[in-house]
Amino acid sequence: MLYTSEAIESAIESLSSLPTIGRKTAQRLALHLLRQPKEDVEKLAHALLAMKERVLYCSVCCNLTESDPCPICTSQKRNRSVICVVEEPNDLFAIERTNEYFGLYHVLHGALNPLEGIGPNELKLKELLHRMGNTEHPVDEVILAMNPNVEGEVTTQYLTKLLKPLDIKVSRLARGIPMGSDLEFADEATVSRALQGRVSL
Amino acid sequence: MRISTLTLHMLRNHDETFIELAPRVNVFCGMNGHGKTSMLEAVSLCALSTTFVPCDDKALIKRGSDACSASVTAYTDLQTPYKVSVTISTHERKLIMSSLGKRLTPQDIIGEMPMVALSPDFKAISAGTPADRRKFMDSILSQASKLYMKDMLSLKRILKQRNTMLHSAKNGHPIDTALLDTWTESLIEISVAIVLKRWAWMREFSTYMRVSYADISDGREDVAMLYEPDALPPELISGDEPPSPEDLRTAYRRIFDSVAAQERKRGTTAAGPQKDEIVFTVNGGIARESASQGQHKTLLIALKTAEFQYLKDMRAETPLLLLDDVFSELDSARAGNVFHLLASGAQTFVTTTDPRIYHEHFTDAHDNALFFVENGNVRKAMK
Repeated sequence: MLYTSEAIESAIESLSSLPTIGRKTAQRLALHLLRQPKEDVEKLAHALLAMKERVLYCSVCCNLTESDPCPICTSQKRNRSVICVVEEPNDLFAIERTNEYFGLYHVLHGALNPLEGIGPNELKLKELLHRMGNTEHPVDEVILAMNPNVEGEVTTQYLTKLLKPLDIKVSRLARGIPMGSDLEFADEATVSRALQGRVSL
Repeated sequence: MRISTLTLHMLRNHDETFIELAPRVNVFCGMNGHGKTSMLEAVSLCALSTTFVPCDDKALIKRGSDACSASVTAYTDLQTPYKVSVTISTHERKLIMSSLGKRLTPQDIIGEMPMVALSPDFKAISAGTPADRRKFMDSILSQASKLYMKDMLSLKRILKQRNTMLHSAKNGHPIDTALLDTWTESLIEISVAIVLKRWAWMREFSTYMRVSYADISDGREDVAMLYEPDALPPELISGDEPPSPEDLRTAYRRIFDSVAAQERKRGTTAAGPQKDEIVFTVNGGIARESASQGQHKTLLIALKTAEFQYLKDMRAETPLLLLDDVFSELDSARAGNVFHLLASGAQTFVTTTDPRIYHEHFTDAHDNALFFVENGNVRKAMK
């Protein structure tokens, strides 16, 4: 044991099990928390516990929420005939931040990844297909917004295969040059994709 | 490209080596096992993020140390400064930094400082296995095109994922056929992209190769280079026009249909660009089977000369030239061909046990330097 306190050691152990946190960062965080007033540390502990106790999956879109169905799914202002499918809640936030999308979402919580044992059953796919049968608010279009990597690509193809026979319009996000950046700084793969997906005027 | 300074840290038997390099030919002279080749490996590490010697990069770390690094400061042909440093540690990922940024991946630096290495080991290109030839082709294409590198990474990833599924099928686990089909489709897509790029490369590169081989053999022998993609019908790729992506897709679909049962039984992918082959012929005979030792050597020099010219044209940048213990293996006529390549003006790194090479060929010019390497210590010879 490096430290003279078992409590510090176990706090470091727990912190370093978090993603992107290595042992050194965990040490810094633990010692920082130790120097904080007790109230602040309690606040953090309560926040973590409250999150764990209160947050659940929305029974419609599978996003994280405290009220089921979630505020997006219950909003009257939203267009219920369009569903945007994303891998993670983070991706949903990214699209929400645009303030340009007014349809609904569906969060898969991952992408197809045999190496990590993630198959169709591990994703919220059944829930998505269930929504396609909604007769009250029929779905006209599904937008697939997966990450542009091998696993996201295969997830897109797989979903397309499932959704096409249901006679629903399936679309995907365009791929190209990021806004506000210069063409010369984009990498070759991005430029080439943008060329392939060029738009006639 | 010209390297002005080279630094090695805990690399093989070097502790801390810093040298200023001459703009043209740099000869490293010393006994075997004293660290001459390590100097070239350091250059390779900075250019390709890996050593050109066929071994694991971790073997570069000096015994008893847990990390080694190599860094260079260099100038492009247009005199733009370029810096790069690569660190290899026992437990962590490769750490790559360059003028382009920090925490880079190998793809970011490969091709920025084009490099061609020639070592007697590379006879395997014409005499060895298909994997040796693919490695040769992939190394050139990767330095010439970042897009190709990206495609190869995708191919590797898709194969890994698809093989995981096939492996569980082999072990009797039920698998989702529609999902396996989706992986097959994406394997086909990437295969088509790679085959088209290799086809186009072979067209262009074989012209370079024929010219350089004719130069070396005085036009007495006829040499050719053919691309044979795994499992695809030869007539699809033998024409003068590039094969159509749609035809390739159809052909691959048929292939994967026919091997489907076999793949599930073996638990691995049975066809695709990971099994492609290149065939060299000399006077109509397949080089791997019928070429003489001498013809293999000529072929190797011709291939490396072609690689040098091709990369120079593609990147619009003179590649660095690494010659590892080349002259001990060559007769005077072929050595003359290598000197011919040297005359192209590239900055060159030569290892040899015999200082006469330097004294006979490189003393006149002001731009050359001789270094003595002894037990990991490098000393510049006085003029």
